Amino acid sequence: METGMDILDEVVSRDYQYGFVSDIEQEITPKGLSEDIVRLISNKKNEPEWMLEWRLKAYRHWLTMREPKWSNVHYPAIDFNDISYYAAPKVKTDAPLSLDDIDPEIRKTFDKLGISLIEQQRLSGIAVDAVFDSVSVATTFKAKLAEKGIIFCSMSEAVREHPELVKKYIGSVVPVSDNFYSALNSAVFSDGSFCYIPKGVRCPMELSTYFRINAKDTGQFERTLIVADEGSYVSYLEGCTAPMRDENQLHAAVVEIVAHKDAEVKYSTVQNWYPGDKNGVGGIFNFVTKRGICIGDNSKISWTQVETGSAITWKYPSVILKGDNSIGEFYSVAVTNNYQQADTGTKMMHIGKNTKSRIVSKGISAGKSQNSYRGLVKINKTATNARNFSQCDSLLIGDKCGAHTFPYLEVSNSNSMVEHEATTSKIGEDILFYCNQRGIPTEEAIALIVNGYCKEVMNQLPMEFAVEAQRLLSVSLEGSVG
Amino acid sequence: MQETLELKQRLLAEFSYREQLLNGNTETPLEILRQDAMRRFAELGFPTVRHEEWKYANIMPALSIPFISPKPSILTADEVKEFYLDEIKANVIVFVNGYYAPEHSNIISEEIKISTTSQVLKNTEGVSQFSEISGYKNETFTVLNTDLVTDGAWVTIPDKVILDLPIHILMITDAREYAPIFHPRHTVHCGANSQAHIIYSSYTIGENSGFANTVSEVSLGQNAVLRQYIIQNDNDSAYSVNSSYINQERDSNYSAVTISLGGKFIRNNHTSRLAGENSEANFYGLVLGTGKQLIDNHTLADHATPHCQSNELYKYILDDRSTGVFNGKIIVRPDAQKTNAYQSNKTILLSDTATINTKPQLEIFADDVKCSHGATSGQLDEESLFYLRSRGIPADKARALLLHAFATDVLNHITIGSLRDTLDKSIAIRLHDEDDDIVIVE
Repeated sequence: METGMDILDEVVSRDYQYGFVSDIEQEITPKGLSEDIVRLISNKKNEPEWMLEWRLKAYRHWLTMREPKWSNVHYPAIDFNDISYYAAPKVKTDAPLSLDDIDPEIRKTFDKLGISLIEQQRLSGIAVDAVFDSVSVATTFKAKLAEKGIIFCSMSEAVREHPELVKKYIGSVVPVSDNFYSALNSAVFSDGSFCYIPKGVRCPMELSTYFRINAKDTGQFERTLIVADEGSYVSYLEGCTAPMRDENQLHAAVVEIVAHKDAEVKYSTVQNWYPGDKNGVGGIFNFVTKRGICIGDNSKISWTQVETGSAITWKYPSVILKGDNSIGEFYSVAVTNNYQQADTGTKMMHIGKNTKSRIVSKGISAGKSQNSYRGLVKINKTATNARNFSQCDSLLIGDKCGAHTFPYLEVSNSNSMVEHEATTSKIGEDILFYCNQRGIPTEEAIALIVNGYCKEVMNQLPMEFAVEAQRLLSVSLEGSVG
Repeated sequence: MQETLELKQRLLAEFSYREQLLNGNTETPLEILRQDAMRRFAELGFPTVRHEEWKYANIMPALSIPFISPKPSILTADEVKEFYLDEIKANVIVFVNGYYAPEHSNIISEEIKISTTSQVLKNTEGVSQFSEISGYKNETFTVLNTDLVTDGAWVTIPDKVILDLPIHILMITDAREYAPIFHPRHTVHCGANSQAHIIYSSYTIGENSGFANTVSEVSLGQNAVLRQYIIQNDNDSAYSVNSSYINQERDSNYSAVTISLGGKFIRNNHTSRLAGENSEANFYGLVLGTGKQLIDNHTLADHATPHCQSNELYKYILDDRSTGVFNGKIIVRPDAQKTNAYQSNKTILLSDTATINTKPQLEIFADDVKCSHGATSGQLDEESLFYLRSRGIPADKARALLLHAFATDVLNHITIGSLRDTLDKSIAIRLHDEDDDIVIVE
C-alpha cells in the first residue's frame, strides 16, 4: 500500500488552490459591534426605518444570548469585538449596468475562480448574482427573469424595491431570536440574495450566487431569502471558495426558504472555503442557519450540499413540513481532511398529514479530521401517515480521524413510519484488490469507489454543479486511502 | 425548583446524620470514599432535562414525592412466595427495600462465594474493590449510590467454575406504609474461564411509590461467560434507576436481556467496557409500555481494544400514553481496530399518544471497523394482518399474535428455557395472545 500512502501524503500536503487576495480598495467599518455599527451598516445601505428597527431588535436579543457549546467541534473562543462587520468594494458607478462596468480587478478574481461571468452568460445560461464580499456587484439575466415576473436581486436592493415582500417573509422561517448566530446575522447582515417566484412560474434557469470572503478579518454575514409562490419551481445554486488566511474568519449566514402550495424549491450548495493549512492553522468558521418551510400543501423543499471546505462547518439545513403532503429532502456529502471539523446534518419537522422526508448523508473523513452527522426527525401527533427514511454513512480514511453519528428520532403518533440506518466503514482492501487485479490503479479505484459512494447525492446536483463538485471531490479525496 | 432542592437536601442531611453516628471514626478508606461521593453529589445535583443524557427522562416529578430512607422491613414467607421463580431451581438472594433478607434467601451452590455488600465493606480489601469499575464520579445516581449504599449482593465466581444453577437476585420494594428510597449495590466478579447465569427481578408490594437506585458492577475475567436477565416489574408508581457497569477481559462473553414491564419511570444505564481483545458484549431489551410509563434504556458499548464485538437489539411496544427512550452509544477508541458493532432499535407504537425518542449514536475513532445501527418506528404490517385474517384469525387475535412474534425476537436470547417460557407466557397475556380456542401449530 506504499503507493497509496504516497498519494495520501500528497493530497494531505496539497496547498489550497484558491488562496489569494485580490487587491481592491475596500470600505471597512471599524472593528467591533455596537448599536452604532448596526445603524452604520443600515445607513450605508440606505435602508428604511423598519429594517433598522428589525436589525436593532435582533442585536438587542443577541446581547442576551450565549454562544452555543453543544456541538462536537472545538475552536478557540471568538472575540466578536475583533471583527469588522461590513466591507464593501468602493462603488465607482452607482450600479453596474452591464458586465463592462464591473471593476476589472473583481472580474479577474472571478476568472481565477473559474467563474467567468461572460462565459457563464454566454454558454451556460445561468443568472449569476455574484457576491463579492458583501455587496452584489453583478446581476445578470435580470431582464430575462423580470419578463416572467421573477425577482432575483441582492438583499439590499430587495429591501428598497420590494419592501412589502421582504417585510412579510424575512425572519418568518428563522426568527431573529432563533439562535446565537442567526441573531448576529439578523443584526449585521451585509447583503445576500433575494428571490421571489410568482404564482405558477417555473424558473427557466438555475439561479446561482457565488459567495466569496475577501478583505482581511471581515466576517461575512449573508442573508438569503427565497420565496416560491403557489405552483412555482426554482432551482437555486450556491457555491463558494475563499482566499488564504492565517486568522480564522467567521461566516454566519442565514438562508430562509418559503414554499407555498404546490411549489418546489431545490437548493444546492458546493462549499469549498479555505479549510486551514495542514497543521490546522487558519480557515473559515462556517456557522450557518439554513431552514425552509413547506407552508402550503403538496410543496417540496430539497437541500443538496457538498461540503469540502471550512476549518469548521456547523450547519443543519432543515425543513418544516407544515403543509399536508409536503416533502422535505436532504442530500449531503461532507468531506473533512487534515484538522477540519464538520458537525452537520438536518432537521425534519413533520407537522402536516402525509408528509414525507428523506435524508441521505455521506460523511468522508481523512487525515486528523472529525466528521459528525447530527440530525433530528420529529413526527408530531398531527402528522398522520408521515414517512421518513434516513441513511447516514461514514467512510473513514486513515486511523487518526473520527466519524460520529448523533441521530435523534422523536415519534409521537402510531401511524407514521420512521426508518434510520447508519454504517461506518473504510474502503475494503478486498474491493481495492479486486480493482487492482483488473488493472485499475489504486488511485483510480478509490476515485471509483468514492464516486460510487457519493453517487446518490451527486445525482441530485444540477448538471453545472455536478462537474465542480466532482472536481472538488477528486482534489480532496482521490487516492487518499493507504 | 423548590422540590428539587428538597430531596437533595434531605439526602445530604441523611448522610451527615449517618456520619455523626460514626463517632468521629471518619478516616477509614470507606468513609473517605463516601465523603468524596457526597461532595460530588452536592455538586452535581439531580439532572434536569437540559442535561443531554436526561433530555427525554424527566426525573423532576420524583423529587417532589416524600421518599423516605427505609428501615429493614420483615416480610412473611407467603408475601415473598409469589415472586420466586418456581419452575427454576436457583440460588436465591432476597433484598427487601435494599436490605438483605437471609430468611427468604437460599444458596445451594457451594462452589461460589455469595456475600453481601455490607459484609464485604467491613474489611479493607472489600473497600478497595468497591466502586472500582463504575468510577462513580460522573453520574449523579451512581454517586448517590456510592454515598448512601444500602446493601446488595456480592457474588464471586472462582476461576474455572461453571455454575449449573442460576443465581436469582430478588429485589422487593415494600411500599405499603410509605414511599421508600434505597440504593442497592451489586457486585459480581467472574473468574477466568468461569460461566454463570444471573437473574435479577424487581417487584413492589403495596401501592405507594418507591425509588430504587441500583448500581451493579460486574467484572469478567479472561474467557469468562456471563448471562444476565433483568426483569423489571414494579408497580405503576415506582421509580427506578439502574446503572450497570461491566468490565470485560480478553475473550470474555457478556450478554444481558432486560425485560421492562412495570414501573412508572425506569431508567437503565448499561455500560460495557470491552477492555480485552476478542471480547463480546450483547445487550437485548424488550419494553412493553402502557399507561403513563416512561422507560429509558441507555446503553454504551465502549470498544477500547481491537477485535471486539458488540450487538444490541432493543424492541419497544408502546401503548396508551407511554414514552419509550432509547439511547444507544457505540464508542470505538482510536486503537480498537477490527471492531464489529451492531445496534438496532425497533418500535411499534400502538396509540397516538405514545412516543418514542430514539438516539442511536456512533462515535468512531478507528478506521478499520464495521459499525452500523438501525432504528425503525412504525406499526404492524397490514399485509401480515391481512394474511392472518384471510385464514380465519380474528383481527384482535392476529394483532396479538404479530406483537407476540415481535417480542419473541428478544426473548429468544434467554438461554434458560424455563425462564424464557415463563416470561413468554406472561408477555403473551399482556399482549392478549393467550392460547385460547385457536391452536397455532408451530
